[in-house]
Amino acid sequence: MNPESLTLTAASQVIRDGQLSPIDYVHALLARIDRVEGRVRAWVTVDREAVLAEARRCEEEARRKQFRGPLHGVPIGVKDLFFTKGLRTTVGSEVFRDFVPSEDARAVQRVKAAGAIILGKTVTTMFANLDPGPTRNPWNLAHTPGGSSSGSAAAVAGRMCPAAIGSQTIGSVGRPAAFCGISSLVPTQRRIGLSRTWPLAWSLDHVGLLGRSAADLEIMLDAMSESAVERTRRPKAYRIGIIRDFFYAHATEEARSLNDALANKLGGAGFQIEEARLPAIFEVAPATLRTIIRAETASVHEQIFPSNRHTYGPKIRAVVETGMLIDASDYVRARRIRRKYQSEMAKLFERFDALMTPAAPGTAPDLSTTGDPVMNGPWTLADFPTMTLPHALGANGLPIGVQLSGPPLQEGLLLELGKAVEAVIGFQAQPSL
Amino acid sequence: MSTEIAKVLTSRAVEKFGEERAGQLRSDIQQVAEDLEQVRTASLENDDEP
Repeated sequence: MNPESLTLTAASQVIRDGQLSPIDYVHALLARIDRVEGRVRAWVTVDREAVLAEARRCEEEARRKQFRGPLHGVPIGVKDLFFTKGLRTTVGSEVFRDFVPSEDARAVQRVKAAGAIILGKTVTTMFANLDPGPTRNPWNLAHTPGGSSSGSAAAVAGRMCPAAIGSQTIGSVGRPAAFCGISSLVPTQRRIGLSRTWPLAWSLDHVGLLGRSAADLEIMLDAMSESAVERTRRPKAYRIGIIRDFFYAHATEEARSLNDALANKLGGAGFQIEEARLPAIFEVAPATLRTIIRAETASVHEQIFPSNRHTYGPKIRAVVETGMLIDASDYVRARRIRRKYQSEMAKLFERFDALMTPAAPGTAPDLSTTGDPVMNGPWTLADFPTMTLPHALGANGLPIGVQLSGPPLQEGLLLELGKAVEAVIGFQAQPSL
Repeated sequence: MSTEIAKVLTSRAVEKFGEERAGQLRSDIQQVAEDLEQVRTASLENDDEP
């Protein structure tokens, strides 16, 4: 057994069976971090003493067959936006360099209650926006892992932890997961509470989950969801709507071709694949999304920006400053459009169980950017639960992902469909790092 | 229309951040103006609540 390669699903099972000691597991992952972190730079803070103390506690409890939950003894990474009690939370910014919260974020409370060990805080881009952080892609260190959940994606892909928590406001979970060849789920916003998590834009922020399989995501969601995730019976054939409008115009030829190949493969495996057409309101979705983000981000930073602007990266600074120029009436209008957009887009699920697009425009670009969230934004705006799964390698050896979006609050359906898609894909590749 | 919107936004930017910074934000302001044009002209009914 190679602990660093275990999925979260497998790890939780072998811990429960007594085949893997939580202490040995933590030692294995810390050794992995020692070997690769210097090159990947996924972590902001790892408190080894605290982690080992927690592992000892989990081990003691496991010996007595007292398991706190489905994540008992499993070390996970937490994006450095989520407050962690007694553990530094920097939000990717100099402003919060020494900030140590006195309480856990809601999402952190949930994973701890399920028995997880917080292995450490993973790199977030500054204030969860687009200025690249220091993290590199484990598949090729000259390429970005994506962002803003850069460290969470890189840590999971780099086999430094089996799963991690991230956040998404446009594409900050799905895009890095695709770039790093791992799986992700961004559930409906109200599934997982966001209290004590530094916001980018309140109405758009979502907690996101990163792991190595749909089953991993399912376990994490069950542990973290504020309400029970309903399960559905598998239909005779899943109906998937492939959307080429808009998405293919923003994808590379390689991404389009591989997406089409996957669609054909799924069709051959019994999925019903048909073209889905976008409603007219989709045309104003990108402008609506950007307007809401700018206005809300400006409000988030209202107090701290004036005296700290010199520490802000160019992209987040521009978002804050342009957000300050937007009228309340325009912001409210954008919110009204969003509500209408959500209603119009939801009608697509009258014909389909899930909607399929590429998860990113192509493979991961270079380190000067975290990539373009254009593929993910429409689903975040819609607040549809959205999963990404790796399905191929590009010509440059970097991963390519597929994105599947489901009806609001039907994560159970999406997860089951995702497992079925995953079985057809059969993606096994890992970075050689 | 977006040109008019951009003029108003630029004027605000000058007031808030000064001429130099407003100049640096020119392309961002242009994007905002184009976005706001779309938002302002999108079709909405009174029943379409935020």
